[in-house]
Amino acid sequence: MFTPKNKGLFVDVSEFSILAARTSSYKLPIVIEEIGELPLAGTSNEEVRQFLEELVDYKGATYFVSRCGVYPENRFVRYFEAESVNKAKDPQYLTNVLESEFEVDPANSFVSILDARDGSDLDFESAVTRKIAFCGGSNEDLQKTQDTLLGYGLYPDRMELGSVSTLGGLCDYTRFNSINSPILFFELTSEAATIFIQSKGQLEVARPIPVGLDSIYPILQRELGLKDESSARKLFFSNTFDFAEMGSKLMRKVIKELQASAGFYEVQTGQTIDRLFISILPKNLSWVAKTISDALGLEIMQPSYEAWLNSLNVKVSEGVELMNLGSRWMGLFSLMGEYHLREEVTSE
Amino acid sequence: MAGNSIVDKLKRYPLALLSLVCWIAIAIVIFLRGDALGNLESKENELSSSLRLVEGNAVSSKDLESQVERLEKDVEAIENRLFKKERRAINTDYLYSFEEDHDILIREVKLSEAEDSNHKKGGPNELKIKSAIVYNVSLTGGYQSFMEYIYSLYKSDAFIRIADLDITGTKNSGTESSLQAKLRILVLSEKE
Amino acid sequence: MSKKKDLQPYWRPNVRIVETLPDIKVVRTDFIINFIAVSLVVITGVYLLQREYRVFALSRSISNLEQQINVSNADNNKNLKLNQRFFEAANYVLELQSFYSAPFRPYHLIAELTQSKPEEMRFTKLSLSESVATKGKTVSFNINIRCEVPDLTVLNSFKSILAESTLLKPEGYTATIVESFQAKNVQTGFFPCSVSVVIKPIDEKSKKDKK
Repeated sequence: MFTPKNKGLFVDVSEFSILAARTSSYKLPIVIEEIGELPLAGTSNEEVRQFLEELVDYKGATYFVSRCGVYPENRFVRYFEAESVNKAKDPQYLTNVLESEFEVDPANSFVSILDARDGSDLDFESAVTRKIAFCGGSNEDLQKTQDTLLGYGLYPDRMELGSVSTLGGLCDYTRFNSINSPILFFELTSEAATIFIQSKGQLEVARPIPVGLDSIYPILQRELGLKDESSARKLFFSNTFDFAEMGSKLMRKVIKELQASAGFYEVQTGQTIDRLFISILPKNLSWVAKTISDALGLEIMQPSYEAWLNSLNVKVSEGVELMNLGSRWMGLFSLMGEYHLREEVTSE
Repeated sequence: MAGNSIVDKLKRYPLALLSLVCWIAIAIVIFLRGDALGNLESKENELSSSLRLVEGNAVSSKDLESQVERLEKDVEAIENRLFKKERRAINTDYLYSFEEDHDILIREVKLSEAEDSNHKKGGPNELKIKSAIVYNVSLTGGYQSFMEYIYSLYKSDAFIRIADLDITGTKNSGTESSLQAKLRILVLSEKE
Repeated sequence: MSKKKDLQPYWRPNVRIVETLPDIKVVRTDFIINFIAVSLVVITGVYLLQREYRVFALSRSISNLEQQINVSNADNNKNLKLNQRFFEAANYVLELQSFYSAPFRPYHLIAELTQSKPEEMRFTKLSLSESVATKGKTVSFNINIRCEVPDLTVLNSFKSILAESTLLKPEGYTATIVESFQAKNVQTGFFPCSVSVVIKPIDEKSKKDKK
């Protein structure tokens, strides 16, 4: 019928930067034609739009239909293992779990319940899993995030939680590359941090820790004797200071939490985690990954995107170089993958 | 529920709704007017064809009156020249009267009861409003006089023509031969 | 809480809030729906107006025509009567035509025959008669001549004269000439002979067939 003339625009909007890719269309197979990054630091909507218009042609329209990964403040991803398959199928039970264990108010939140083994939507009639992943965010927060996208001139054809899609991408990447040992995936943002552990493409731990980058600034201020937190924050993001030495001090609390979770997991399952995957964090905070990996004795994962994307029917055009893109780009590329297709292929 | 959603949808397109109402109104008017147009069209066709006919009549009737008057005068004249069947004696006498102008001797003029097959009903030259009276005439006379006689039959006031003719010549040598002739003549007369 | 039919891609729930999204497609749908609706009304309206105008024009034309017909009716009746009178009178003329339908006059025929005969030839009897063929409704004319000739060549030459005569072959007729003769009369030294001519209308049908 129609060959879509409209290009696809995939955007990963985190608090640090906007990562974007223009593709030939949305319908697989697609070709990544161009990618771009815009660091966000007091950037105005107009500047963001300008950046996007360099990537795609708005043709005079107010919005460009796009697929976006977002990180709303109150987003949540929680792993839950029910006592029985039947309980995992009982919506009322699950609602109670959400309220009592995870302090999520279902009335005012968007909640998606996934099968933690493959990320599929949980089907209450036919589900046969006890392993569940709750994810979502407060309606208010999602609305705010959606409005931000619209402010950039992005009309969300899909708006996805970057944390979940990145997790999905990582799981699929693991399967594609047949990585059998568990991977520790750590998502750190200003106000929140979540520890994920996935093994052979299945989510096995998803747990928030009560620290964020915000909790590091007072430590930095104290360590360096700065006059206030905001100057500490500025210094933190500037490229001028080498945190390599001070890293372990700043990250002590975080590392403790990670060690606790990883240790508990290893004891429980008897498996040894040997890789660390850190998303979102910009390049100038690469010392964070280094600090954690040193402390936990884990290898930092450097995904090689091209072969993996190829296997998902996402080609990369010649002018686009994915070789040196770090793990923070996983959020963007994972928006393109249709992992259920791979599931079907391997299960046959 | 479904009803409400339809109402909601309609509320979203007030202009379309207004148009729909107008359209229905127009459709009703068109429906009510029905075949008025068709009826008028056929009536107009009928009238204009009868007007054309009347006009055609007027054109072809140009000068018709004077022609008819002339023709009717002729008809009157024809009427006056016709034999009247019941006036047998006068008719026979009329046929004998040719003797006076020509050097011939009319021996007999006899009214025949037989109808002429050429002009009778169903004949090749059927007479519709008049009829033909048949007379058998026998006479003697010279060739020249005979010729003059038969010529004068055609030129006479009555409408006469010769249907059959039989001439026998005698062999008078020297002088002009004498002829005996038998004629079957037809005279146009009024229909009975 | 979704079912299989609205399956999400794995690991990728869509969390957008559809209700508060600007309805970018609806803007176009609005336009199309309104455009179609208004066009429909305009088209139907124009159609109705056109019809009504035509009704109006037709009504006017009909009343005009009726008036014209009324006006000309009196004339027309007069014309029709005249026409009837004309046909009645014309019938008289046609009747005369039927009466004098023969293609020649007998005096012309007799004159032609007597004038064209060779001097040596003598006519003893001449008859002329009409015969009606009931089939085909035609009238034929028969001429019978009894004569005497000193020499048979005279008879032949008379026959060829007759064959040439235009009077014996009026338009639409054909003439058949048959001659016969007897043994010489010793007393007179002449051959008694006869010539008969049949003048028949040409059969239209056979004429066509020949073509």
